[in-house]
Amino acid sequence: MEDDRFDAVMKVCKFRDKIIDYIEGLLDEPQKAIFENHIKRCDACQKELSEMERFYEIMDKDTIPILEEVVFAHIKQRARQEEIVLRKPRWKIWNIFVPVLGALVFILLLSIHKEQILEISVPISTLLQDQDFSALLLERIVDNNMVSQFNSLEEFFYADIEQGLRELTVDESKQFIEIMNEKYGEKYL
Amino acid sequence: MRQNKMNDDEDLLLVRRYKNGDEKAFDSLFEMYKHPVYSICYRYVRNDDDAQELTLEVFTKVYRNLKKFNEKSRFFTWLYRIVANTCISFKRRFQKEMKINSAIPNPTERNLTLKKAIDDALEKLPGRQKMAFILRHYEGHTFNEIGAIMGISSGAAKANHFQAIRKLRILLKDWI
Repeated sequence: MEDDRFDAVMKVCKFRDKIIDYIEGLLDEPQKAIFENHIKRCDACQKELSEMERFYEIMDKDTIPILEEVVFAHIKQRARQEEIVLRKPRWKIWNIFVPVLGALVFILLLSIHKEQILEISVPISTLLQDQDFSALLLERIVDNNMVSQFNSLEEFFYADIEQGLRELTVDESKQFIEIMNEKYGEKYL
Repeated sequence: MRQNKMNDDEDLLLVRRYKNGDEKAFDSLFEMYKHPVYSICYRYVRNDDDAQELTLEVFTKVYRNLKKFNEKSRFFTWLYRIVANTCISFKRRFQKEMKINSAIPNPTERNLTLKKAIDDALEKLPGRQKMAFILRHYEGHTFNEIGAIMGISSGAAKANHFQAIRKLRILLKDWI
């Protein structure tokens, strides 16, 4: 019960965060004087300070073994000879290896089944003679309007279009391109 | 191990001698820093075998890279950064195994020795907080130095140290 009361006070006491600074000697003289003055009146801070000092004592008792000089000599000798090898536990290697292997297999499968597309330019007049194209006409998938547009395009592009354009003036050339744009738009040009 | 201007000058002299091909300069640097390096490593991993292995790894890195040290920072900052990074990454790499090795059936049992309790408490701290605590509490570095070693601001170094103490106090409350 009493501990709960102290904890509640400590949560709101603005000097709480100064306790570590006080123990470690990080407070300047005026701050130290203010803190020491406060601690005389604040039971919660006194308890906290006492526990914190006890904590520092405990941690100071934590000693480490003294390594023999012969071991240090061995370390020094090995430091000159050793290559830096990062020790990776086996599970870590598998963590990297398995996803990479999976990705490679996936890419390999994709490349095997990838559809091969071959583009061959065919004159529209030849296309019209094609049986399959005729079938499309019969099934009205391709209508007469589209055929006439194809024919018009071919008329312009199958002939030596570059020579034709060269014969036009700059204004005529611009006009021609505008007409073509209006008529067929970007869909066919 | 608090550094001062004289130590820095001596370090720099040895580094330059080593860069000029004097192998014995490395011996001198090793002698000067072997104890603090081992101490930090031991306090971090809490066992002698791993601490020795880490010490070796640190000095191997120093030996291989000393010629690349650009002298823009203090030598001990450069060295301790290697120590901190090696310890933190060692911990990260071997965390699973270490947890298994250091597993204690019931950490609140009274029959635990104080050392084991401290081992267990430190084990629960995040790497950066633990390193900040070790560098401050056991090696006596300032927060500016800890910040420079860990590549963080001095404020962040202080915050890490502060958090470490708060957590350790809670974890060790049965001993206080």
